[in-house]
Amino acid sequence: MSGSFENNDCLVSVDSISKSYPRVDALARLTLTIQNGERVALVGPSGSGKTTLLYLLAGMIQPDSGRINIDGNPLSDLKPGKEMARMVSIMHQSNDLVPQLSVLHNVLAGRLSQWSLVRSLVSLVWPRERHLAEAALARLGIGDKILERTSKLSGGEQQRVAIARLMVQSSRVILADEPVSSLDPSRAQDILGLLTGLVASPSASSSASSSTSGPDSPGMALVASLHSPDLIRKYFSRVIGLRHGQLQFDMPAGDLSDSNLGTLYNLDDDARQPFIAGGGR
Amino acid sequence: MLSLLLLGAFVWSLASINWRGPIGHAGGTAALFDFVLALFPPELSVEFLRVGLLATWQTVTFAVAAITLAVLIGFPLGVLASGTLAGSHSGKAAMAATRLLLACLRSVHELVWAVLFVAAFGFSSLTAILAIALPYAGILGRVYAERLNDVPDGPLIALRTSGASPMGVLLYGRLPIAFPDLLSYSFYRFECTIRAAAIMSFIGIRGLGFEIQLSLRDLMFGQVWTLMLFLVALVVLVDLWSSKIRRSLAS
Repeated sequence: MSGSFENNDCLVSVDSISKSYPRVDALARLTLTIQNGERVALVGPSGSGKTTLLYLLAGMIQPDSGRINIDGNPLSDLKPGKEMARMVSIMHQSNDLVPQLSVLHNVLAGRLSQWSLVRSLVSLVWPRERHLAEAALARLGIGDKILERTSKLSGGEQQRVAIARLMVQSSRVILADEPVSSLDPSRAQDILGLLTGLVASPSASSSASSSTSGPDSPGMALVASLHSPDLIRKYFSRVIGLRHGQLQFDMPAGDLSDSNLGTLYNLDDDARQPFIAGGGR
Repeated sequence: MLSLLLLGAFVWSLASINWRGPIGHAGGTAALFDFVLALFPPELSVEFLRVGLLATWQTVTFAVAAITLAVLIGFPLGVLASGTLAGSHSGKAAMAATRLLLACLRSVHELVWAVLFVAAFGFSSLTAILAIALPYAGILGRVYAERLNDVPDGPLIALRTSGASPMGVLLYGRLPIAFPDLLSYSFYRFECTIRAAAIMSFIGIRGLGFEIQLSLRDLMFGQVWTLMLFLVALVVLVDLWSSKIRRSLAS
């Protein structure tokens, strides 16, 4: 799975990246590659570097050393905004929508990276590319909420709106930071099904990018951090275990055993490592 | 440190009042008595009510024009002063410059602006409107900037990471989130412009304050009460209107 050679299917390649914060090494010389179509689960105790890795992939923070390539291009060479948004998108722990705006506008905010200033302004009054938002919301089963004020939606519906925003942004790599940490089990299944579905069936999601993508729809990949082994085995194709910023294991999700996780989360060892709130973020 | 200084100033001001002698002047009590009694009833003749209504109308038009102009000037300045669009060095410079400009506008009282503008435009409506609009633009801009900065971070970061420019973040994040606050503060300031427009009479511009001054000079306390009631009614009406709009926004 973790091919050491670069081929056509290689979407993300992380080459020996390190990132440290004042009191903790968040990532230490991490190397891995992610292929088109992969759904990768990140596991590890708090402070293991999961969130740091996601933020590095999203370009929200820069590595101290090492390189990240996405689709063959160095991440640091991508223009922030337009080019970056086409390559990676990230869903945050809380959904972070704008509660005062309509669902439609919150979804279309995923297009802001591709819109000019005038278009963005006009769209506030006469929504542009409305069909993209309609298609995404319909697919997520909340097409009827499109004109509602976002604050009026339930937590689960708001999470779908956040996913719809990712869909209209239609980036190649979708990152999700603990997307199901605050959900009950059945809703967690729901959301993971939708997220992994984005990668599993590129034909449907490419309708959102029909104006921007080439003749054959480009491959996508999902990287999400979560804890539940059952959900990982059910929805993901590959699982990566991180501990103290280093790779502990990297295997097909189906092979994940409870003993793998036991070693990963081994608390004895962790107790010696001072627990720094947010240190691994 | 500053608080101590202010406290000292307060104590000193108390000491400067002559507590031994009567606080009012001789006959002041009687005048106060006359004034209160005149409320029962205030002057309600049709003739005078027409005078009052006309004066009210003049005051309202000044206030509406002034607050409109103040919002038009204050809003863009507030956005610039908030620094939310300032990424570059030139942006930072523009932010500092607008903050200074806003401070200058609001540090001069509307009556002082009025005196300046009377020299330029005479006792015209333009004088009254500009004199109120400028300091209010300074206040509005300052408060708008603060409210735009106080918006919670989460939704803004989410917009930024999905590739929105600072302007996109402003339009789809900061403004919609801060809008109810900005609106209700603007309404509060509208009430204040009504008061300020009434006060403009002290430099001889017509309106409610002008009539109040005339009636006071003639010792017609009944008329003064009528006009004051008009003023109160005006402010209450604006208040009702603004809370209605705020409610419809919140739902």
